[in-house]
Amino acid sequence: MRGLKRIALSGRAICATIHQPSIAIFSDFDSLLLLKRGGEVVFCGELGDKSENLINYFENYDRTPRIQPGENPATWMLTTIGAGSSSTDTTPFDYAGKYAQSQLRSVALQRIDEIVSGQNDGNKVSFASQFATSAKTQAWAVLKRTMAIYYRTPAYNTARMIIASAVALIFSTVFITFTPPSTESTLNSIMNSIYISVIFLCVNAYNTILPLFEFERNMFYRHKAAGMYGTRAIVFGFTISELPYIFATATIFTMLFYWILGFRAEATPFFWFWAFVILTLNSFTFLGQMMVASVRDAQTAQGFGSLVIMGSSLFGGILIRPVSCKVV
Amino acid sequence: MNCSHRLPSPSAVVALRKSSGEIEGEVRLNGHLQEEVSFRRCAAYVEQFDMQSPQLTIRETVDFSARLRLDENDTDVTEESRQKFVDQTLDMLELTNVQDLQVGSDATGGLSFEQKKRLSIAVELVSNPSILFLDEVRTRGIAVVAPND
Repeated sequence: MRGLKRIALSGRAICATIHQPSIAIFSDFDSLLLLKRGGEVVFCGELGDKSENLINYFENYDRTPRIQPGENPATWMLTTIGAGSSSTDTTPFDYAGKYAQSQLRSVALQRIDEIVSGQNDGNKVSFASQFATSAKTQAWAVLKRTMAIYYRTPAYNTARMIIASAVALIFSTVFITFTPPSTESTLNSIMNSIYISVIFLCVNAYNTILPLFEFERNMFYRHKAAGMYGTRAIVFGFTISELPYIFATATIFTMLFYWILGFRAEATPFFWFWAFVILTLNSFTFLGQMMVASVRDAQTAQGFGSLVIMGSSLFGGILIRPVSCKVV
Repeated sequence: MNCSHRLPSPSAVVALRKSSGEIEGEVRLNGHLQEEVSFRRCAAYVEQFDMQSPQLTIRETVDFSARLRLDENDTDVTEESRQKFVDQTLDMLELTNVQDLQVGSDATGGLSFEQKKRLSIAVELVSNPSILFLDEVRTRGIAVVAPND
């Protein structure tokens, strides 16, 4: 409250919505607009010293119980207008109706008329652009922010690299072979092991991005409402920040999996494999971001994720062979 | 006052933070009808529930807001003047001592409820607004320092 008072004294208007404030806080306010249930105005005006304007206004009505010495005017006014849950008064006094006919209201209306008629080009607050900064400034500032957030979230980033190494080690050692596959079934099992380990990694990538991105998405809604930056800036920030981690995760996985499984030591297949892992991880990570951006929350996005993974399993070329797919 | 929490507070409607439901009447600023772009630029709004990225420090959080909300075409806004303004704002809200700490979350510790509220106010204040809205300030958040007034 000390802070707020200081801000107000620096010449800024503060408009606060508050429920049942303590006496110390209440006495710091200058003016009050009191609404009762349903949004009807009960009091509007300056509070005066020790809320005397408010107290005098209410005590003007005979039905109003007098305020006791030391009683918090805020609590007293709420009890008086029957806002408390303990109100048992069967014929409540219509404070809103009384306000509608009061002097207080006509003064307020008069003040509004004065302000409206006093409008001129000099007191018009006008900004030409939606944002205070250029798209470039926004993009760099948001990128710097998302980079910092990523760097300081080891639970997300270190964890996915550890998981990638574990998956690579487990799957490659299970299917380890020292000779090139001689029969179709051994070739099949190797193909399947590639598919299963990669999809495992991808499901993990999809699921782990969800909570982090959900939080930052909600953060973005607030920043957007405050006119800080646009959608392009956040998309830029979150895409660029992901890339180094995806690259590192894919590289760790490829280095372990490819060599332990004893694939050909030739540049072409190796780089194809590497590129394939990077791209697949990209797809699923950004798919996760996309899902959180389009549905309500991370749980819902997770639900949709299983649908995507089902689609990918069915049509990834493993369960249904490409030869069985009728190409029209 | 004391209305159901599902009803948006009047300040949320005025500050263009809630648009659901039926809204009647007009909002005027110095007598001029409210115009969205300009209003968002000159007003600041502190939400009821504080939310700040836990990984960033307090200073980074406030500085990010200042960088993006102070007009970069204004010749008075320089790197130096902005840092000074951030310093002043942190000082005004008594956050200078903790400025290099991360915001943190409830699960991992971090800022207290009251510090978070003050941080949210600082983030808004650093945009140099003409009017500052505070939505349903729960007094617990700021009452802690009130008795010293």
